[in-house]
Amino acid sequence: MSIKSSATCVAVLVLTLFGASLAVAQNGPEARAEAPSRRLVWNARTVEHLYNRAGFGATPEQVEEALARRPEDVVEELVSGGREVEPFYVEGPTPLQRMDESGLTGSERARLRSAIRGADRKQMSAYSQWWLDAMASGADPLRDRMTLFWHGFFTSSYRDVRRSDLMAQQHEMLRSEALGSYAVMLFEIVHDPAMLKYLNNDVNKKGANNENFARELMELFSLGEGNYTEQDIKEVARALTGMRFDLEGDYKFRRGQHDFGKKTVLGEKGRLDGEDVVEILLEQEACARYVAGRVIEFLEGVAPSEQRLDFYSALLRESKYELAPLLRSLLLDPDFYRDEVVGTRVQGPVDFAVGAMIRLEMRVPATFVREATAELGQELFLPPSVKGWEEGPAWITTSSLMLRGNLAGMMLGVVDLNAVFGDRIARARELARGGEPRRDGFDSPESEVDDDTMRGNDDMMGDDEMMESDDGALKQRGKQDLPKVIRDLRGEIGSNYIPRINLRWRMQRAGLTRDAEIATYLLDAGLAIEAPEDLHTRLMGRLRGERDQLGVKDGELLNHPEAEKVLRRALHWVLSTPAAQLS
Amino acid sequence: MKLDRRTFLSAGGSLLAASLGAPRASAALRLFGGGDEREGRTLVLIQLAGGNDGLSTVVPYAHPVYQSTRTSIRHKQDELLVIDDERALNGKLVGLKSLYDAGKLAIVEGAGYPNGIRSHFKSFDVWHTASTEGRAVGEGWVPRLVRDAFPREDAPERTVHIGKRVPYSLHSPDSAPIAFEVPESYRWFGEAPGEVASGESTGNPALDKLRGVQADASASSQRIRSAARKYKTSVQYPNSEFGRALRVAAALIDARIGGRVISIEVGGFDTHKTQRGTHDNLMKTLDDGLASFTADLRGRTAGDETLVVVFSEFGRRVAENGSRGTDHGRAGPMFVLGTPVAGGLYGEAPNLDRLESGDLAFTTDFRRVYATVCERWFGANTKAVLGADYEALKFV
Repeated sequence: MSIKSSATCVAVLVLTLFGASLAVAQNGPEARAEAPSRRLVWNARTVEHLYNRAGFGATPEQVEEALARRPEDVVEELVSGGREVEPFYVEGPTPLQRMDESGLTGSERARLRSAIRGADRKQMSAYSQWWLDAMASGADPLRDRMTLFWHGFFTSSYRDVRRSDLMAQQHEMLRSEALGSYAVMLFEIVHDPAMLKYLNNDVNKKGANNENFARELMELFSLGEGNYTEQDIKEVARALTGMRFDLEGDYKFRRGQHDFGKKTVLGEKGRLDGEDVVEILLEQEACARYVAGRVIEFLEGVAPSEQRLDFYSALLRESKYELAPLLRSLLLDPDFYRDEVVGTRVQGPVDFAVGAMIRLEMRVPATFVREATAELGQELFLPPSVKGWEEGPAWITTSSLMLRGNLAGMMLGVVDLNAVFGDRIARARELARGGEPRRDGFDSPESEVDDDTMRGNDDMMGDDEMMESDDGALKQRGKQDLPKVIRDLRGEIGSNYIPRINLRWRMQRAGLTRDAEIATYLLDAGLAIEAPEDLHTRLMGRLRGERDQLGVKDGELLNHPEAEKVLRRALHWVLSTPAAQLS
Repeated sequence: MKLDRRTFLSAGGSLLAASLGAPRASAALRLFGGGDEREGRTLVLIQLAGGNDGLSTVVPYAHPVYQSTRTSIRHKQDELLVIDDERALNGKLVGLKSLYDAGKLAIVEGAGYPNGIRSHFKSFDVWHTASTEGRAVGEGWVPRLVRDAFPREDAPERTVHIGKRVPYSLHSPDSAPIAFEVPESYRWFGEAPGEVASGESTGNPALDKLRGVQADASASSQRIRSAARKYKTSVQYPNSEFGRALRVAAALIDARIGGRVISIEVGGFDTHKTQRGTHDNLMKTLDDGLASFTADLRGRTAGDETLVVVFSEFGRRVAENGSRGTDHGRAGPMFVLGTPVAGGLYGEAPNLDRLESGDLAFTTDFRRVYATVCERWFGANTKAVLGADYEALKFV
């Protein structure tokens, strides 16, 4: 593929680019801030914090193991990348996609497109599940953590790209470079078919510019708002003309569409093209600062102080945008473990779900994880806008808090899917019997090209998807109103789902019997943070209440036939707490 | 005495109110002799996300600049709902046109702010905080409004977002917004809730805040579900997300269980490419929903007490781009509608002969609309809410 070879070009490009600026950075008075001098405290709390933020959590055993090693070694292991995961085999354009549509009638064309979309959505969904499984396997925690970051940073959405192979191709690039070089990623992204499509560069041509990509390239992918002018956007849009791709998903430069005229971008003049623009962007002080700031804020949950940002952006520039030095230094920085950071970040839905699987060592079907995280607002490959997902407190509203608890209950088999979504299922049935058809303005033939980078609400599994359902009464119209989480889960987690976890056996093996011990175990396994003091007392109160109803004494619970159910309900209670939303 | 929400919650007041099904503080207000005609007033804020093309919404159909710069996406006069010699509403805005004719739709033309920003996110921040400093302000304008207008009200559901993503306008540093998509499943199933706000700090501010959210969820869940369940109307709402959200809004207003401010988003307005059909469909979605909503509330007290404001983060470039779409621009129109509205044209139409680097220059600061809502609708102190005084308009 043509873009693969470009990775080597950029290395050379970056080297030459930094020959000059490196000296400045080293001699500049404030360019190199003092490295942190305080010592990092290495205990169970900080180790778990490291795994929470640089991965998706750890089991108590992993924490023990890491405690016996030097922090430098543990961090080095994360930064240098873990085990390789067997890649997903991505099917390229299918024969159907290659078909010439010109001889077809309107309805034949519609049928063809619908068939293509159905198959393609299936692949996109399977690919998301593959990635979630990779995260949950813990094979390469920091890589997957950072890939999630880059996926929200160099955002593209399947909703607009509409080709799973291109989305997967972009994701493979981001995942392979996630711990590598930002400069390479930036270079790749301006050649990336999914991105070119997502931000309309496939229609940006000489004399008829489309500024969408130019603006986001500077605002969100490199410099940050305020570090360029509106004129720069216009000029960059001209420079990006002609950067296209073909059906095979290969980058193509279309000379005929490119504007070879003179341009001025951020003060640099010349007959600039897209690659020149990348070079110019990387030269800007604002670039390293913006990228370092975004990385730190993502991992710490709060924006860094100016002083630390000085230090880390200088580090990123000195390393020519290699990410390993930045990550290594950050993960060993005592400030990364300060009270303001540890245990104070609201987990995103993927964190919440994958983290629970890791901490509980529980395998949950990836279908469920995908749909549950989507329902909670983080649908992989369908970020809500070009800015990706808004992290932190924005994840939590009253309803998402409740829904997290409900989904955790479904995962543990103590809450019934039909209870949570029963009303919506009933409504869908009603619609199927002749309610008003869906009219939301998106399914008219006129809007065949849905170009809505800001749209946020409809599903990956579109309305035209034919669904395998045993419910004959549920006709097409009704299905449209049925949330995908239900559509996909009815088989997976509905009446057929039995969770694979045996809490009673785990407790017995660990030799736990008393309420106090059980409560400690459940809080340890269920929470990413140190349990708040009052929670243990309350959980013991709950266990005592359940025991009293069963008529068993403290210490005897595990011998009762209902024990497993009691334990699962208690664990569900733990996962519904506010504390379980934090890491 | 100003009741602080946290102290109220820690005293168990909110949970008590929930168990009694108490209708927010209106009864209390009456008891204290503070009740007045503003008591039941509600604002419905509708956000068109992505940057609505104002020129395809309120169309200057006769203007030569419009005609020459909009080559493929132009609306012709006979496709439009003509208001006067200069402007017409998009042909899909049938319901809004009849509201306009009935004097119940105010069109605020040329709405924007100085040095308009063409970034979705930064520009929304300005609209959401009513400040050009954006999020640096630390709070959306809605919590400030509600606090100032209704200092005694404590029910968490006094501001509600119906939908998935909550706009920053509802953001407040010390509580999370009440938000839901479907009222029926707005509840805990099985084991709930694991922690209850005790009012004592855990020493972890993030955890304290989440415990407050949990208390709010517990307190509002039953009230919201019951309002939606009991609501009866003969009006058939369109089966779009927007239509469903408006129906829930009507239910909340009807039940008078809160909902001082109800927020709803319609997405999809970032029409960089092949705009015409997409935008027309969006206009239809908007119009169908609003027509049902106003028909539903008309002739009822709830209708007299409800003001709807429609806005977007920016308008779009005057000239269309090379892909039959439009890029990000600046000023655009706002709509204000409802029974209490004095309809007509407000603000000033932007001058198409005097563009500001290809964009419509704003003529009317959008904060004048906010100021009108503050002062003339809710009786709040504009300066306290918006941080500065803005001249109110006269649409209410």
